[in-house]
Amino acid sequence: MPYIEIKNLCFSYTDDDGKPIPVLENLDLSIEKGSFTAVLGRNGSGKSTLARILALVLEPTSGEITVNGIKYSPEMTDDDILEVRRSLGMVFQNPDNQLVSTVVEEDVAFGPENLGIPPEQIRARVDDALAAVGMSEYAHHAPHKLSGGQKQRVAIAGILAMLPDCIIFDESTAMLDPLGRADVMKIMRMLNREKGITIITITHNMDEAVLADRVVVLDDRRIIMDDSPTRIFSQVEKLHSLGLAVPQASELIYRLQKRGFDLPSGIIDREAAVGAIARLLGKP
Amino acid sequence: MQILSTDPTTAVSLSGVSYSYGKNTVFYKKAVDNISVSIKKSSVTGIIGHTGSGKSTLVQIICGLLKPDDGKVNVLGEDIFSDKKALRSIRFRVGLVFQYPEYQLFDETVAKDISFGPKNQGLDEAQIKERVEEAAGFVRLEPELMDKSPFELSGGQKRRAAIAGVIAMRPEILILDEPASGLDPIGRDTVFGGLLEYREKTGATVIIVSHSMEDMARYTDDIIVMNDGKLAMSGDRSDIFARADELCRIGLDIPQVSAVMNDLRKMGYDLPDGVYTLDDAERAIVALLDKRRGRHA
Repeated sequence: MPYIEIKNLCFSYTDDDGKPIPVLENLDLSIEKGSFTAVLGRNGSGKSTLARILALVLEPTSGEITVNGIKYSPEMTDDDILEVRRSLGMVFQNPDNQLVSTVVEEDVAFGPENLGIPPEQIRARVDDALAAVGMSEYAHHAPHKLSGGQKQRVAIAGILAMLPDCIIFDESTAMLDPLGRADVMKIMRMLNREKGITIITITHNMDEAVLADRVVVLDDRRIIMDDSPTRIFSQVEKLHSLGLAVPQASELIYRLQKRGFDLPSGIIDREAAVGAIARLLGKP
Repeated sequence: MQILSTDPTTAVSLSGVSYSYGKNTVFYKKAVDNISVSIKKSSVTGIIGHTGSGKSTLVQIICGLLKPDDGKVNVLGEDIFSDKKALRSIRFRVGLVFQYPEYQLFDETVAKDISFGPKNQGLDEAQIKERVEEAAGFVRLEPELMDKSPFELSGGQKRRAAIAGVIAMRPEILILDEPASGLDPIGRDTVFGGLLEYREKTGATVIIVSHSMEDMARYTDDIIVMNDGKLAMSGDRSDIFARADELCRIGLDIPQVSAVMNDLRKMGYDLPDGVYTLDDAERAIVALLDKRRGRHA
């Protein structure tokens, strides 16, 4: 059974006049355990709403959702809610909006404390979580003195301390500088490849989408593309028409193809683009 | 020390400017260290550098919000820290848009929010109305949005409304900190398109603080690179992008297309350096292909 199974999901909110405004319509999506999925879509396409529904922050208007075998419903037991919150963590966009304590290690301990984990186990979990994100030496620091990238790493550690199965990153690198962004991307990849954690990243950053093994594109309340990054980013014109960017490497290859040069499709990174152009040019 | 420029084509001129935080405490940090640089009038100038490089401090000095420990700051021909009057006189001439300015929207309607600045400038009703409409036009806010609450707008619209609130004061220098962060590609193009149009129509100088080298490549004329409180580079954007290796060494991303072109150059292909846009890269590769095919034909 997939880790996340969504069937026929609809969500709408009501405006001031009580008129429903649909955000998601009849959405079907399943996410396998251990997979790495990037969700793309222009602002207002419903990406964050989807993440918030999965994280039990918003309640869907209709549809079925099962996460880790637990079915979402208004009648869910407290134990089920707690188990979903443990299993599925979320890292938000703004590094300043998600740290609650005045000391880094206390912040990381906040999750397991609330799950009622015995104190001696919490110590070990906090140490492991901080080590995993490379923040051990900041355990006794004040979070507000950290850089944005470091704050996001502490936020990730706070989730890891709950031993999660899945982490959703909702534009978590958008406010970071290039170094912070690279650190968080490296951690996403490590958590997925080495710890087998299911990763879902909602992003406008194409370098991040390229890390994933699956790209889902939302537009106008629905999923309209769902494929591997290489196949998604080969469709340059379609992505542009949806108001989305493609990696510059893909775009350069696409432009040269359009001029009639024989280049392979499915190039999404720098190395592959350099190799393909070099072959086209012949020996230096 | 460099002589302060009073050249009418210069918008900002800094000479030997230094600023430190937390003097006499353990948090002491020299945030900006002996900076001498100038910014051309009517240019779009980017200030880039990673977190802690001193770029935000530099901007706050240019706005007159922080007084440097050392050095001279000349903004629009005024030595702004020479006396209080000089400082006051540039307040309305330099506009600053903070990062995530949409958090500062506060009024009942978008139109009222945008009119806050011009109202404080003491303009009359008719002038205020004109300013509001003009500013909304620059940032492409549709007229039907003007009577809505700012909180009903989408994220991109809120951002543009907040920027319009500063543009409505018609600043001669408009400074923006990460104006497009968190926006999708269409949102980015709309924001930057509006800023370029404002520069075009009014001759204002636009200063953009950003982490994004791709945005710098697309929208600026000149770039100032800060590293560890010091001026690492300054110059016209093609000169800056020609120094890709140095940019990478100080932890800045160069656009992916520049990296591809640099890799090819290092392999020995006869391609120009300082290529930073897709258009230029495409042109350069096609030119080389034509040359080679011509030779072989």
